[in-house]
Amino acid sequence: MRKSARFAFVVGCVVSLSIGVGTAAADNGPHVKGQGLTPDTCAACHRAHTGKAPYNLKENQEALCFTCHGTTGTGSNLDVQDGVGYSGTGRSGGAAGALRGGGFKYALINTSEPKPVRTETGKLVEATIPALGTSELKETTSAHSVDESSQIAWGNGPISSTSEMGKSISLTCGSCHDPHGNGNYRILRPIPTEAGTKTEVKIPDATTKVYTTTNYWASWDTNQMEFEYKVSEWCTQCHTRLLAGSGSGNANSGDATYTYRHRTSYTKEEWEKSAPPKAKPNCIQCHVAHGTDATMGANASQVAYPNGVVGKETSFLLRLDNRGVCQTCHNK
Amino acid sequence: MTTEKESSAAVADLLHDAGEAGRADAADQPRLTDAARKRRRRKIAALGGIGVALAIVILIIIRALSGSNPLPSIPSELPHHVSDIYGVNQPMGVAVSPSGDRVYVTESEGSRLVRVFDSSGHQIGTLQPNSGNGSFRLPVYVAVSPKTEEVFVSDRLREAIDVYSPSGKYLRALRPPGSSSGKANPLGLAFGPEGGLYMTDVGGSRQNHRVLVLGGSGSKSLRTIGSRGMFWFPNGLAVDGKGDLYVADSNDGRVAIFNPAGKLVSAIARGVGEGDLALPRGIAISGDRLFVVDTTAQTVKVFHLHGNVAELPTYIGSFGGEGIGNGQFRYPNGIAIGRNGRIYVTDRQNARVQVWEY
Repeated sequence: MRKSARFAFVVGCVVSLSIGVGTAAADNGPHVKGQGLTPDTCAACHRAHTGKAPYNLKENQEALCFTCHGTTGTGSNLDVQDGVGYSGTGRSGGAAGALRGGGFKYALINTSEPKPVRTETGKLVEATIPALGTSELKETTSAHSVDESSQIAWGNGPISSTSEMGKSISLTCGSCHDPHGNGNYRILRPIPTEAGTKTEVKIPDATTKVYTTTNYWASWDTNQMEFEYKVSEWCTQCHTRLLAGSGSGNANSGDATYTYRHRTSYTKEEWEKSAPPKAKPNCIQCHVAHGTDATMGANASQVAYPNGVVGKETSFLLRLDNRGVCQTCHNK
Repeated sequence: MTTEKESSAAVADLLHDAGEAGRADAADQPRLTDAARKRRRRKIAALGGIGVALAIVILIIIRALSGSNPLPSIPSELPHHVSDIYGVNQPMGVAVSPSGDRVYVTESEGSRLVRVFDSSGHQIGTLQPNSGNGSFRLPVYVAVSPKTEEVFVSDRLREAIDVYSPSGKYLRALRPPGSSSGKANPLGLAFGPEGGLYMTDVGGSRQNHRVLVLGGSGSKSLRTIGSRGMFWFPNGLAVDGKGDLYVADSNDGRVAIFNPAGKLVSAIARGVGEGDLALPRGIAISGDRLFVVDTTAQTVKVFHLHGNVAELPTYIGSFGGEGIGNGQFRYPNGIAIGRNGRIYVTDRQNARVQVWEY
């Protein structure tokens, strides 16, 4: 067979088998700050004109975030749904274990076995709330809802003599965290998007990031102690009226709902006097940020929300079953 | 009846005769007159037409024999969506048995196990380790040994690879050593032509992420691929028949391509151009096609492999797109291709496995 004939034969086969190809829109990968003047990662999450969620997001924010940081998040060592940090948590490479903030669906807090150490007079010296192993997940009993569902920011707003429990809000991951990075601890927004306040609370980021813990009583972070005395101020940007100083348990606040309150405020000066780290009366000493697996007994499970409704999630993000957090300090 | 041996001999004779005739034709080629040139053009056109007809006949025969459209050898066609498999909560990984009669899908939410389907999409069983409830494990990727048909499943929570027999019996857990200390954290799985089990290890910091090759049914480490810091959460793996390795280097937004010696020879990169990648996770090879699941792009991108690993694969096109309709994805992740060319893609947020065909 001549060369040209052979060529024609091959071309005939090729043409007969060929079909036009389609085109595809390219996209981008994980968010990373510092992409220069022509960043190509914006489109991973945003659409300028065809967004499907607030902030011009291409998709529901929770699904976007959990693609890397959820149970199916094979692009990160932080699984905030399971409350698990895999080996290498944080880019500096931390140990695997339970996430300090708990988890949204599961948590690894051994909520039933606190181990307080006391002096002979019963004063608390130190305590341990053990973390469970990463294969011992327990379903959460309460968690901050980040699915954009409507909920009440309990205590939001100024002191009120009428029954103002707090405004209705919807939360997602980006309500508290800035996905683009901002130099703050845990990329916390200086003002949560739903807070309604105007004063920023900045907590500088830690150089060494530790996301996991073996002891849930040690709520402080020795790599960023500023977190310890600023965190209540940060939390109460939303839960405004829950910020209460020393003596608030016996002083009428004038608020119809949040009248007598446990102390949550802790100043830098007070912190400096009491260092080294130990239990402090701030928000995170008793509560976790994401979700807890603590369970409530007959009395504790009947405690209502400030609006009088007894909900399903009566563990209120507490670190221990029932009122274990009260007993650990007060030893009654 | 003609035996297979006799048929082969006859075909060989024909090929030999054709070869001899071709060589003689070339040696005795005379100078052409106009009439001869016309005859030659007609002959060329006729042969071209015969080529077209022959190709069509071959396609018809193959379709009739296989019952499913095969992958064409010419890189120009994209598959079409044919059906979905439902009943899996947040599916992540997928694999097909060598015979194509079983489809294994990892379920990362709910019961957190591996669901086994027949080729028609009917569930015929589940795979799970001997102990622990649903919360104790997190199956992610799955691969089937082409030699033993044993099923290997990476479990991120348990930092293990669970191994099941072809009948679904739990056999053992593999826990390869980590690159620095402790255990590896296995993610993507694939088998090489020599039978070695390739796995991506995302344990430790980025500096420790790597590809590990296991031998002896996964019991011993043979070698490590990739230098320190080369990968950033490598997910899926694919190994072609020559031992060339394709790694979905997910957070780096690329597919890193290695020759059989483990040397990085090329990469399909991240970007905004056609064929550029965003967040590649699942990856598969069939024939001269490379399929890459681009999770945040909500598509599967298809490339033509040239047979030379150093030559960058050519982008052909993509299929899918964002949505909940037929053939649309919401965060696709894993991909597997059966012998019959049927393509399975896990559609995570739509809680289904999509089936595509040529």
